[in-house]
Amino acid sequence: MISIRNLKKTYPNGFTVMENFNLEIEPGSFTVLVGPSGCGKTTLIRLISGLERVTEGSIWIAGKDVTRHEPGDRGVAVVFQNYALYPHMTVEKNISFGLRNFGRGKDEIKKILAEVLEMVGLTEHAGKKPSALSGGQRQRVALARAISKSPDVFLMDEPLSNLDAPLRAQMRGELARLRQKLGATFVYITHDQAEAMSLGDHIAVMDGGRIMQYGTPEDIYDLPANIFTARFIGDPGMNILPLKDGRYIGFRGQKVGIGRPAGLDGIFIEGAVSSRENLGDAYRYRITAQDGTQFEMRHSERVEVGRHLDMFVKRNDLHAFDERGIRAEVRTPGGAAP
Amino acid sequence: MRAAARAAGFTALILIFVFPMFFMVSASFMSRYEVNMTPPALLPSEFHPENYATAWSRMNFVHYLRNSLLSTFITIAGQLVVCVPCAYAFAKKQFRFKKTLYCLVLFDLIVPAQTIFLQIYILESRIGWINTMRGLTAPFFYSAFTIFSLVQYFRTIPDEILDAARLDGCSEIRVITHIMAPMARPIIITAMIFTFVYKWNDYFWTSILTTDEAVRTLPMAVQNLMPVGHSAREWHIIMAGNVMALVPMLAVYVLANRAIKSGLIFSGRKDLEAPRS
Repeated sequence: MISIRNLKKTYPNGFTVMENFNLEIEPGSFTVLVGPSGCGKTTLIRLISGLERVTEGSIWIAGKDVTRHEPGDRGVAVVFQNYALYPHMTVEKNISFGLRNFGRGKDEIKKILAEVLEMVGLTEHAGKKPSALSGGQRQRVALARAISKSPDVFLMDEPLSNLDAPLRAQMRGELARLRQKLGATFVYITHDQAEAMSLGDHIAVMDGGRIMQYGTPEDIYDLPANIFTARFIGDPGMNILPLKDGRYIGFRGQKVGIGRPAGLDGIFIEGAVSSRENLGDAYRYRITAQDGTQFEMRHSERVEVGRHLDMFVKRNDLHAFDERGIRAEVRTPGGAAP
Repeated sequence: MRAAARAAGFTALILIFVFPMFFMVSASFMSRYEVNMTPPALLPSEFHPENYATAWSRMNFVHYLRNSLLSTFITIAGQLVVCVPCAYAFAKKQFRFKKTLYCLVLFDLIVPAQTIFLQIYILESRIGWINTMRGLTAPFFYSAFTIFSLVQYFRTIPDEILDAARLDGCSEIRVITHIMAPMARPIIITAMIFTFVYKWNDYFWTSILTTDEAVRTLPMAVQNLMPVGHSAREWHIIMAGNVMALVPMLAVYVLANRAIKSGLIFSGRKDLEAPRS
């Protein structure tokens, strides 16, 4: 559906955000872009939508080269974090403004309006100005405006992050339903990993204008392709410990066990608890291993700060990375622990 | 006690500002004798509305009113066409020398007209624009004040709203006419009223850029009521002319009263902010 080929973007001030960037997004898929601030997620969405001009390379949407097309002519709709509603127009006008610009007929517009307002549950608010609506309602208007254009692609830049937690969960559900109904292609930016995991059928982890890994949420979480993805995905990110031979070993804090079971296929670690945080259903511990390296452990058992512990991680829960930080096969550890 | 002192102070201030207006209206109804009395009369002992008829015919009121209306509305229209897109560019576009150019505009805010009139006069006389309506209006299509007030407001409009409009199929012109301008309506109206008052009352520029009565405006007509070489005794007629010249401006003020106030007390717009939840 979206094909990005050899993309390069350099800003007028000479800063190159991305170079040799390639990405294929399948029709009907829901791709979530995640990554630290400044990694190029928003730039990517602005390039796809045409709000930002491409320096080199091309962008194809639905089989057409749209690299030189105006934003309005690409068959995309964008939903912004701050909703970007027109404050001087009513809900109805906010939605119909674009349709009128695209030369849709009066009756057709009326029909679309009734449909999308119904879909987002704002029919009785059609005559109100955005200032009279709550944040959740405003975001629904923005959604309705996007839906009204029946675009091939929805681009969403942190659409829910201005909402409070319960409302965000609710809207997340609505988005998932909406997506089923519309069957369009979604590209979605979020900082919320739960959102990324639950909404996305594909996740693209980005850093420094590059895609570090593109795959299903399961792949990204269970088989991180590199140290960056391993550390970035998950709450907390994966513990990465350097080995003596320059390689790295990684494991998730949830997978650390306490004790020294006999005959275990895995690694043993000795260390002291340096801090503890109560998360409700578990405790988050900072552990300082004997050689001074630190890592995180999640455990349901309460342990006092300062206590020495014997810990272990099963072999199946270990991830190995080579000197460049790229995923490698786990070798027999044989007590190679730090 | 303090409240009383304050009330007295305000009353004095109001009197200082209102008295000239009051005396203008009052004197316009006096007889020639009364208006020249020492000490002057405050109120006419008998009404002489015929002063207005005299002023009307003597100053050729309709002719000058037409010129005043024309020059003022052409200037306002010109400013809308020139200053609104200009302010949009300064507030929202990136281009070379933007900072330098905007500095020049800001600098122009503090440059008195008297320092630049000669250059404009020479320019206009070279291209033959002296004594023409375009010569009287075109230099004022650009206004540092209008641009400055609009830029200040345009900057507060989030870029995403403009992006949304572009995605809605708007050209840059349409972004200005359908999004920026309606959102800035109170500011634009306020700036245009300042322009109206400035242009309507303008004596300085009109006296420099015109010599021909054919294009001159009301302030010049009032001036004409004071014949050269004649000892100025006809204050009652001049005041009647003044009142007539002011009426259209008062009408505009009354009509736009609400817009002016909302424009002047404008500060921060709740409806632009994204509230949490």
